[in-house]
Amino acid sequence: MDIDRALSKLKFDESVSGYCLLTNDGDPFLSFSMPEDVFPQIRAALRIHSSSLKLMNIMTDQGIVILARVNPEWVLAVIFAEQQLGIALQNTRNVVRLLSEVDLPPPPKPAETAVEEAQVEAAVGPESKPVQQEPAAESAEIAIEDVRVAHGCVVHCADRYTDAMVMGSELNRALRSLSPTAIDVLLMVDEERTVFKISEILAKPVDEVIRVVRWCVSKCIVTVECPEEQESGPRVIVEVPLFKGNLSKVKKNHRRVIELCNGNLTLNEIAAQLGMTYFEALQCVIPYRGKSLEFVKIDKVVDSR
Amino acid sequence: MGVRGKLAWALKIDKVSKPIFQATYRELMNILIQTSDNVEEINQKMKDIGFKVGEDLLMEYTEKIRKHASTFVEFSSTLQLAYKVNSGQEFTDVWVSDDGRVVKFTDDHCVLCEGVEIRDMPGLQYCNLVSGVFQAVMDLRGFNAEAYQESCRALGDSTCTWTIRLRD
Repeated sequence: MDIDRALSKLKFDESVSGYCLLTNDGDPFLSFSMPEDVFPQIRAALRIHSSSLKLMNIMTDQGIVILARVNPEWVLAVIFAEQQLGIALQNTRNVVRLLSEVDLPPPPKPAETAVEEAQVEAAVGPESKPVQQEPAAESAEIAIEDVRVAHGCVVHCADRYTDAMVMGSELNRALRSLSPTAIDVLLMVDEERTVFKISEILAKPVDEVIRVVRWCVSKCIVTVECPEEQESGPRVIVEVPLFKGNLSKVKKNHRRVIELCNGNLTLNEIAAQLGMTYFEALQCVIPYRGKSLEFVKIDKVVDSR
Repeated sequence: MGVRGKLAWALKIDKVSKPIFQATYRELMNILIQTSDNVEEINQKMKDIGFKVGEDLLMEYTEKIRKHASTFVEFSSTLQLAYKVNSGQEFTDVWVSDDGRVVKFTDDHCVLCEGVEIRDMPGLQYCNLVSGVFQAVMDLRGFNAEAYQESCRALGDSTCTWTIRLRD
């Protein structure tokens, strides 16, 4: 499950006026139209109930806010403008269920925790290291004019990523003053997402995400892998059969073929694997095509050019 | 599509079979993948092909279009009409920036990449043919603008988006 699929349930719910993910201290991230003036009430509630929180509601001037525990590090807050409490609770619970299948990134660390961890590392490490991490040399930075970032570039973590994700660090403060979404952008870096994908998840303009990523590249917080660096490699787009139905309802003489229709093998490969002709394999899949079996086109690495 | 548009689409526009078109486009893409060193090269080649297609389309429709766009922003409706005439469907959304320098066209049901799932080429612009057509229209009508594909359903995005942006 991808995070944007889970959050899109809220984004396109007309009764939802805003949502965000909160740390246990009430710091909001991935905020979508969440009004600022509800946060004091949310923080007060979290101070009291954070450790035992499962699902609770707060009545605010803006509407009902539902707080729900997603995992030990994150709490989901959703504000409903007009909604019956029961339905609001149920809708939030449904999204939490989806979010529980998502690998959420850890929230940015508070400064004290980061220093403590550095101290522990220094104490147990084979070589003693200074407790305060040396900031990367200024000379390692890249002039922002030389940084080119486009919507199709994949974003990767770089040397100073961890430093940037320590709340209150110099880099973290600079990021927050650069853009209110800068930390959210960094939270969404998973070594696979493109700039566009990040902007889609955050529901922010692509140009804004490009601006943040360019700055972060210049400060060695992230690197980008743009299409001109992505090798196309020896691959080809092929059609593969994908069976989504119930195998027990498949005719016995079709079953060997249908079992291999898993969305990874072409019909030619299935036929070769089972020692039959392409046409014989085709005859086995045709009765299910458009019903429980569909052909999808995927890119596949081939042996050589 | 209005009644007149539907009638024109049904009676006046030549059509090709969708499976044939999609299979041809896919094999064209396969040749580009196999003859290119990186994803940007594939994107550029597909855009170049689209540019040639755009030149042909402009020649074909110049006489038939009653009112040509005269400003950059007016292309938001001209290209919508062109898309409708050539694909039989409208863009799901057309967005114009406040300063009128950027137009984004989205299609949630793009015909070019229908059913395609590209898993390992994150910067690929599978439907960049459309960007090439838009680029041809911009260049040949004398607008200093760039056209590119911003998102693609084939790559897991929720919609296909093509952007035209006036250069500084």
